[in-house]
Amino acid sequence: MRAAASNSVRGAPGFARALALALAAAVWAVAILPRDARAEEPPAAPGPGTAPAVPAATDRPAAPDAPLATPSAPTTPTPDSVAGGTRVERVQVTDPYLELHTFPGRGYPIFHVAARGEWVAIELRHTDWYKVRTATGKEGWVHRSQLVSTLGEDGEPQRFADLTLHDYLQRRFEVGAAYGRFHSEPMDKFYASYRFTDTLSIESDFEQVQGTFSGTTLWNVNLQAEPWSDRRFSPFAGIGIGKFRNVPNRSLVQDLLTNVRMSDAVVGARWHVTDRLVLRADFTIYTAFASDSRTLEYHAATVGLGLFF
Amino acid sequence: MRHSNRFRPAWLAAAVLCMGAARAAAPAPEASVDPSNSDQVIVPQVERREVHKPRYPSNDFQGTFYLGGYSAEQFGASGTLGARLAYHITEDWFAEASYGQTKINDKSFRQVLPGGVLLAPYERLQTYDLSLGYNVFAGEAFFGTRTARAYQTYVTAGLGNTIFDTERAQTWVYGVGSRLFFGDSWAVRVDVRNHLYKFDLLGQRQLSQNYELTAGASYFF
Repeated sequence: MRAAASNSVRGAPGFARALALALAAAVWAVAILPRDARAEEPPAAPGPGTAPAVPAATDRPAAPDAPLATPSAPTTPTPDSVAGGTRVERVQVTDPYLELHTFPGRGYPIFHVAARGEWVAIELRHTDWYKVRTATGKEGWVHRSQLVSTLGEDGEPQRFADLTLHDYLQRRFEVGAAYGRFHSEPMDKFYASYRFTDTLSIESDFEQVQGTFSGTTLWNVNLQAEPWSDRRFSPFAGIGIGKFRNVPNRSLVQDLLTNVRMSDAVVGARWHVTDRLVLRADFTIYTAFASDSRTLEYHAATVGLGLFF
Repeated sequence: MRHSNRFRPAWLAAAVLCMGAARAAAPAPEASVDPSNSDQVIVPQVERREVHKPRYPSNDFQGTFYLGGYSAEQFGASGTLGARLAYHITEDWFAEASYGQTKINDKSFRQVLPGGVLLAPYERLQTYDLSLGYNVFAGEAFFGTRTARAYQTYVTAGLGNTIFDTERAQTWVYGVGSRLFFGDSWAVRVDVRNHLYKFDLLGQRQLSQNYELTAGASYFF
């Protein structure tokens, strides 16, 4: 009668499969270690061995009426620009003007403009908006798009990096939610993962299945492998262990609570949509060890969205 | 039925793992050639410059504590409290996790059924969800003639769970809210949310609509 009881019941093969997968993952994990040792070089900071780099101050297109690096321009952080140990970035306006909005949003009124050549300090960022303070003490919010052409204290174009694919590929944390089917019943899933090498991550999942006669709660910890982690679209696979808890509705007679260990194997793929958003789809096999001689096997498929950091 | 004829995702998983191993074991392209060994006549003397990656303090996260009322269909309204954590992805979009709890009583049922329908006269209800929000209206609110504050009105929708009376029910949550900013770090907000879930009451499973009206204080960090 209960949803759990009506599902397919299989014997030992489920456990053997989980064991085989665990072995495969262990072999794989050992194989991956040398790859991580080849750390990527940071993209910036041209070294002496790289192609001749002309000092950028001379190859920058010169603005006719704006001095490129005014002698009065501060080249080192002034005492007031170091507050609480964090350096306050200062930039010089190269566009004809910089529009200062009252609040961080495209519709808020522009109350002040900073002229070309003026230095402004950047105090805070909220999404794509930067709070700047002009030399005269005016504080307002400027959109990133207006700041990208400004020059930093070193005379170089200041970097206001938008989130790019590179950030996605370098991500460490990811959290998200997904929705799907667990043995034809609706399932929601919350996950958080930490990527500790290029291709390996550890993920914690919490799933809730809403059956007609019972509710099932699952939680598991997975080791995940993402062999093509340097691509925007990349498949992944993982295995893990966890808990399976099926609670029948209280109004049912002869209800039986199931609270057992389980293992799971997952295959899926993620795709970087834009900004911090990741689309992800996966297919999971859960094997619950109901007793010494009985295992319950369930299949689930979900689609969800995640945020990476 | 032969197992080998069926699509076995577990084997696919194993295959992907093996592919990962093969890919990892493949030799990497050699690093850039050392200039001292090359035929280059003139080795450019380029001074290493200090390039620092600019860091800007940001406050995209928003933590909220709230108080309010939760109206459980079939049981009546009661006080609720909880917390939310939001991350502002862009100027328009944000994601928010919420957790709240309230105490539900079945007093009205006990007038007819002396035993009531819940295990105890007061049962704790917990709800949590993960929602996506969109700022639909943004503007300035004026206090007197000299003070203007920013506000944003937003809609949210998400998915979560409700834990009540030993049951866990999948819950869809949608709502509307508004936040009024005080400085860069603080805001007050009001939210109306509807929690939709199926609940088995007296053997009958039905969809229940549970409205929540809350007011909260937020800190951006």
